[in-house]
Amino acid sequence: MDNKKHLNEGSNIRGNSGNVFGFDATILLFLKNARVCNYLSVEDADDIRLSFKDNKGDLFAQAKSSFASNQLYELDHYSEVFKSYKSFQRVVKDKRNSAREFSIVFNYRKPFGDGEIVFGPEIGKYKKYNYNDLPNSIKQKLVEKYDKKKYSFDLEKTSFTYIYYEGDETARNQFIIDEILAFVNAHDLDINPSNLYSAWFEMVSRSSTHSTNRLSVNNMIGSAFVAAIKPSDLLKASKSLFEDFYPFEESLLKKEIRDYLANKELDFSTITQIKSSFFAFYKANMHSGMQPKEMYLKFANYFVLSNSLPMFVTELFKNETNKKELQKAFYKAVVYYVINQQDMISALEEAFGYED
Amino acid sequence: MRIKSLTVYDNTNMILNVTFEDKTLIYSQDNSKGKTSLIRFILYGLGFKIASTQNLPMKDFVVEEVVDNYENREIKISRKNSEIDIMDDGQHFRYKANQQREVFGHIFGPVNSVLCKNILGAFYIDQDVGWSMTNFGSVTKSYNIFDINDFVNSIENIAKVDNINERIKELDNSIRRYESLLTLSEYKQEISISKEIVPDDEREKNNRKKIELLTKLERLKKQLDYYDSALKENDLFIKQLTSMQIFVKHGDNEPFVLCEKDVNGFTPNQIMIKTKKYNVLLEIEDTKKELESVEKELEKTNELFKVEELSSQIISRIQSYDYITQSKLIDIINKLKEEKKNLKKDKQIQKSDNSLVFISNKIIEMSKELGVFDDYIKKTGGPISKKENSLWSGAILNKIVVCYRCAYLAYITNKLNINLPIIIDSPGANEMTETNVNLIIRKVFELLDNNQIIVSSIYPSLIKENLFSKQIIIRDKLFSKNNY
Repeated sequence: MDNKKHLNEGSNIRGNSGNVFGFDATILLFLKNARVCNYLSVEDADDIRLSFKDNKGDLFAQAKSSFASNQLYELDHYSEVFKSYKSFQRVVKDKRNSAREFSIVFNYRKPFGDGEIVFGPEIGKYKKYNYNDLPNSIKQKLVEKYDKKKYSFDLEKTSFTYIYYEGDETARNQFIIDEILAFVNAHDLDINPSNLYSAWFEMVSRSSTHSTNRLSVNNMIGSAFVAAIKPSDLLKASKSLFEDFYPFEESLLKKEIRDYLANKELDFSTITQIKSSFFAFYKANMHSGMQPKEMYLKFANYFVLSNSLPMFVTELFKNETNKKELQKAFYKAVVYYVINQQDMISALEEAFGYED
Repeated sequence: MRIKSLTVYDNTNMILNVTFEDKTLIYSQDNSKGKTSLIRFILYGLGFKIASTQNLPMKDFVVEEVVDNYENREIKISRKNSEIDIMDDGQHFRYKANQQREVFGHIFGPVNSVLCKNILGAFYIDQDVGWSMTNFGSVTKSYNIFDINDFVNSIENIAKVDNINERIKELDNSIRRYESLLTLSEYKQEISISKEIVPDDEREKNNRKKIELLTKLERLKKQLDYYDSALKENDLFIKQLTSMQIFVKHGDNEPFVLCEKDVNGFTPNQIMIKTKKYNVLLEIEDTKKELESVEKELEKTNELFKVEELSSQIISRIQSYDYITQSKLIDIINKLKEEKKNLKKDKQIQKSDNSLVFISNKIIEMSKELGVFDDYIKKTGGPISKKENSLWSGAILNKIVVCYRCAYLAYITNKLNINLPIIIDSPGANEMTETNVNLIIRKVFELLDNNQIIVSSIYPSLIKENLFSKQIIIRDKLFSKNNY
């Protein structure tokens, strides 16, 4: 174990910045399995486990990294990894939930020793090998390290995931952010990948220090919901709602909207009312060629004009001379926000294969 | 005004649902079954500030109460801790518990702040302290008091009493301030001032940081409460919706019963709020850690810091202002106290005042029937003299207490044209025989024929005699399913 320690950039102990390879590896594995997994956990910053919706066994992974990625990953280390798989399996007391995959995520350029595959930019930033995809020479080496008496897991279930980044942890973080960006783009989500990365990293790293460290996929999706909310965008898009106001009134409106978004949540009964009304509005206008945001704004105008203002709105701007107009503009912004948010929720449900 | 039903939810589970009629008895064979808790839930649900009984923290429950209000219009009040929702005339209103005037406005009609403070004492006899309160004093162990002068003034002459009370509050503050100064300056004579203290920037900085963090923590906790109640309300909404077992048919598909999962977007919406809540929890955790380290720092600096030196320095500063002498301070305090005394006198209603005459007559009328006039009330100069309750005790006092309450209710009916209910918790707790309790209850029935009467008791004869149109029998514990 000792020689492993000096190689690992921080698998067992948090680095000075608390920025650990294992957390990034967890996020990466989650991303690659986002639509099918339902729980994830990371212990001691390098023992990762993912459970799946189909309940056909868990994925156990070890995160291994080095500051000096050019260094060889010594083959003896595999015995250590295999041992840790064994301890994983001990955790799985329920025989029905046997493991589906034993994985190792690393940044070593030569993970299988001299003369074998050399990873690097030419191969790509991300590459995964299943055991059966490996050249026979490597398989042979792994078999040598695999002691049948000691380990009960199936070598054929092992996989090897390599990630490449040039530089320090900032580069590694950027690699994950790029992976998130690819995911976000693939599903046409309007989320800032850096924000989402920070939220997920925080969640994963925090959970690793808790005794009940299992995160549900709902926690991860929830973070995505929250990361998708951008008050500044709303304020920009709602600009047309403020046109008739003096600058001081505009800043008053913006302040109330910011406060509202930071602290409040509409009750679900009101949300459903707005949603169903929007559904009808959308059906009536779906062929009008309106862009989504334009339609949201039109709907907000329509909804506020055809419904009475709720109490949390009429309590605002009480001392202003044109309080009615201010209240209406504020409520329009809230309605716009609700529709935007509900649309985002649907998009995220779709992206993560979420089912109620 | 009538209380019609009370429903209590723990999270979203309904754990209590009782209805009340015009004459309702809450009965249990033994004490400590939950009669008092049930009554306190009624009052809490009406928006009063009520202390929980042991082991039943009311703030953790959602309490729903249906009442016929002062205009005989049915309204529904739903309270969760400091949040009060009212459905009145098809409209939804939301208040904080401290907006008592607004809340009571729906229930009792337009009321002023002074009446808000005194109204509970007019219609409720608390098990612990109510049986010794006649015209002044505590209505419940904490929070609620009654003052007959304020009570009558709040109905007859609100502007005057409001101003006076405001001024008395100011005077109390001033008196407290000057008395503190006086204590400090007296203390100064006993200590000697030592060396000058070096200003401690680090300490000041940490103190500021501490206040900043405490404020932040307060804000975060409020936010957490907000998300908690949003989650609960949404859950409640969906439970209510699905409990209706609505049969839905869409297009050519088979009809089905509407379930939670059929409500589009509900679960993700809850997940989103839960995540926000989780983020706030993390922030609270961080803030607490930071606060802990600041406090540790402060502790360190405090050890170095001689509090005694600081205090003597402050005191010496006070002394250095030569216009603050002890005699001057005493003088000021006395003047303020004098003003307070005069104001209290101003508030006092003359015995010849029509309102007091009305109340007195009602008390006399009932006390005669209960046999406590000639030998008791009359001998001490008639009702509404100073704190008479200290002169009587036991069953006599209990009977007199009931006379006062009935008189207050009759006065409210006369002046405001509202029949408030009377809620009597455990008559007979103080040396009163079952026969006496029976007698009292019968008299209350006679005098307050048009008011709703809710009584809690362990006396079986109240059940046997069929006085009450409704009996709520608590067999096991308040929230046990075996009841009623």
